Amino acid sequence: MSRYSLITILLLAATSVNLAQGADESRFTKTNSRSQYVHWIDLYDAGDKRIDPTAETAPPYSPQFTCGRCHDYKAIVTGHHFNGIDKTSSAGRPGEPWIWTDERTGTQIPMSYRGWMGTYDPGALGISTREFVLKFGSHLPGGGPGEAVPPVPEKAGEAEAKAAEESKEAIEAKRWKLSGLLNVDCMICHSNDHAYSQEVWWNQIQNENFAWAATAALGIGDVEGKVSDLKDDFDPATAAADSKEKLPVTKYNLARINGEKKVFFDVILKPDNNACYYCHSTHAAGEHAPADWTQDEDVHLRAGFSCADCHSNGIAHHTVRGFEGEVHPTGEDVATLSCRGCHMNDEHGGGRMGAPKPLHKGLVPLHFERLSCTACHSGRKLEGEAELIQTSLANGLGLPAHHVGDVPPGIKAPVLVRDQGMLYPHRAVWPAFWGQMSGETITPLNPEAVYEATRRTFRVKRGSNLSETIMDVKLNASDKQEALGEERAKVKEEELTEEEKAKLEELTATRARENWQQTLVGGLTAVKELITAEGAEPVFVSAGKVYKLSGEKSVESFEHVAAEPYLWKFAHDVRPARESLGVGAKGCYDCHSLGAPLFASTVTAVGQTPDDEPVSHAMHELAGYDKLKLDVWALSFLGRPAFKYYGYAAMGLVSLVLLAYVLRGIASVLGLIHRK
Amino acid sequence: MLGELNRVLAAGDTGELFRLVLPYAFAVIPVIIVVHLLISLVFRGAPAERKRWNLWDILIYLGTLGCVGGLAATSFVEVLRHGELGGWPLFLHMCGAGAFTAVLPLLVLSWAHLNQFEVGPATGKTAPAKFYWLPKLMFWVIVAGGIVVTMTMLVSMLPIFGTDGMLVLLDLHRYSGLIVVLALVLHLYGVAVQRMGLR
Repeated sequence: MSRYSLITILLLAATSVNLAQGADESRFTKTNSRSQYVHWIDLYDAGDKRIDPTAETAPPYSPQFTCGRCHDYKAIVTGHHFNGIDKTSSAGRPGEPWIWTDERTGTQIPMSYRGWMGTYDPGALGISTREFVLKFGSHLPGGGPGEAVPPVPEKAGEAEAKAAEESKEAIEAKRWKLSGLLNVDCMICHSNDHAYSQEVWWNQIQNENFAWAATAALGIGDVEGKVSDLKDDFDPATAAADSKEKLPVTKYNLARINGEKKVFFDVILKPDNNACYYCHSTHAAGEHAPADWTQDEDVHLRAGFSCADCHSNGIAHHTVRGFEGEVHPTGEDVATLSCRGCHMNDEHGGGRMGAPKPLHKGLVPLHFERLSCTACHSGRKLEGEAELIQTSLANGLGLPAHHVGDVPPGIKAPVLVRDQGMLYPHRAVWPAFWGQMSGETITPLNPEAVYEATRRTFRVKRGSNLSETIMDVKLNASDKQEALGEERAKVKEEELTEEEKAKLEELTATRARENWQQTLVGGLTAVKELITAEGAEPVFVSAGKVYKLSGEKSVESFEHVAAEPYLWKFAHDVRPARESLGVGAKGCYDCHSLGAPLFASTVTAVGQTPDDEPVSHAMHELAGYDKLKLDVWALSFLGRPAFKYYGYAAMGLVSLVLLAYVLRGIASVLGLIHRK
Repeated sequence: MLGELNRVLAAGDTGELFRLVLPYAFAVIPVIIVVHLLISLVFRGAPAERKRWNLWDILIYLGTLGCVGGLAATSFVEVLRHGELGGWPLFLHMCGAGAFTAVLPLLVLSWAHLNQFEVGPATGKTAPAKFYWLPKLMFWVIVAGGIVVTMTMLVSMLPIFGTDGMLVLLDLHRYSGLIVVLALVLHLYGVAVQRMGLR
């Protein structure tokens, strides 16, 4: 063998080793270009088999196996939007909960798999992952509970085995097999053609067509049939071909398929704001809510930012949340993606994306140790009362519905509360549920079980709710006689005087209150059968109060930590500098004046049931400020302008005297030198 | 101490730096007093004739002592205890600052001519001075420091400086305030020495 041949062999061997290593490293594909890769791709089903989209029996595509071919799906599902159910992932700073709302029982339970204080774990309330998906699927991006199929416990004995077979877990296991998994749908965020329909996504989930949802929502195929119509024991393998009972059928849109049977996915790497808005929108609600068209967007978005500019992530989808002190799971320093880090931090690379450094002229630096940036810059300005708002996750914004202000759950914002001495604006929701009180501990009962137990007591009609049912009081003849007298009680309603109408309204309200008391007694009595803890008693928690039976036909209310609002911080929408607190005509007096909205505004609890004396607190109470100190401080600011004038005059005088003596001193020294 | 100082300097935390410096600054005063006292005792001569204090002088002096003492108590004690000044102590500090702003012009107008330094040999024709060099020097330090300490806060109340400027003003306020307090302590000592007939 020649010397050259040996070198060639060695080089080839080295190259093949390198290629092998390269192949390991590049199991997943990246272009490393800023240009968008054009995705004409093969589709794969949930069994990782290539799909022929032109076939009549083509199954729905699986994002896990289609997108996962080139992108690390296992890493993606560890991301913040999907990992809530994973107990090994970091809970992170408390955020917006999922709120289990049931208007039939007046229920609104803040829930989270993350264990945030004030939320309840769905599993602990007997809510399965499947029930969770069917309740909240409209705003779930897939993954998490959508892929968490619990194992069915095996039972040894015959009787036990039969019972296990009829158990909720066993039935749900059968349905999971029919519906398939609800994979993380990459296109819910990364679709670029604005044809992705979250409404279709939700319809498919409601139909229990979990595995079909991604295909239908993207619009690459039509889906016919509903898993929800199939019986629990339906077996697709034995079903007749012409049977009406069959799994949903997928018909792919041929216009998006090329000659190689590849399908065009209009993918964008950085999600468009529109995708984020679907789950992260808020809407001012309530009686005095401003019209949407009068409201500006977040100032950053107006400046041309996209959500993902700050809330960015790598393939593991650990989306940066953007708060101060955030510890990123990757270990990356994300300090400059918080308000302060980006705008104020000189040492660690602040000023990203051209962020201006605010001067805060005349603002004593102490403010930065007491107030978060958001306290002055975020949300709508307080004007006396925290306002009712709706959010995408809580109120299903983004889907066509008749959203009005009082659609539960009621969320109030901004609620200014201190965290480690720093004031932050929060959103607040008051838990409302039927629960059990054991000792000092109150826990909610399973909301579906509560509904079943109270259905006959509350008699809420379809399309109505508990509140309407309670308030729906018809006065009888004797009631009218009591209010108006025998003669006037017979008069038609339209002929009554305003005073008489008011009397009837007052009596109606009284009867509604009595009705509510009876409903409460009835409800608390009805849920007694659900109480599992020994010695526990039934309670109803709503709008900051707890109600329990105090006799056979009466209830008493009291305050309890379980009734306190769940609070989570918010940052958007950020107002421009000129609209922040402390700027403009009022300046310091925005906050340092008697009755300043920042401290004096009130927060009134909202629930779904009538309450004549709702729990209400001033902002300073919630924030834990000393009212006397605030008032004294505010009063001192009244004399501030005069003090400034006086101070400058006094110091001018002192400076002149000092200058005079300095000059005299200099003259004396010069005179001495001259004499010498 | 040096390690902590390095850490604080590296962090650029000027508030923490002031907290570190504060005890050492106060520790220097007894040293100065002891040294001065020893020198005074060793080189003790016949005490010079001094002008007597009238009621106005006493009131002004007590007023200044009260204001500066109150300001020192509400600031330095809080800084040493909590590392920062806020809440009620800050409010009281502001009240004290108002009083100091009122007292300082009175002090200057009443006492400036008594604290002039004589340049050249005494002719013997002038009336006896009220103070000797140490109280005189400290008086002018108090006046100059008083202007700085007051103006830094007055300027802070105007929308002129941004956060960086405000932090510089705050540092100036801290250190000029410290100088005023230390100067007043030395002034008090100087006056006491004089009253005891050591000067």
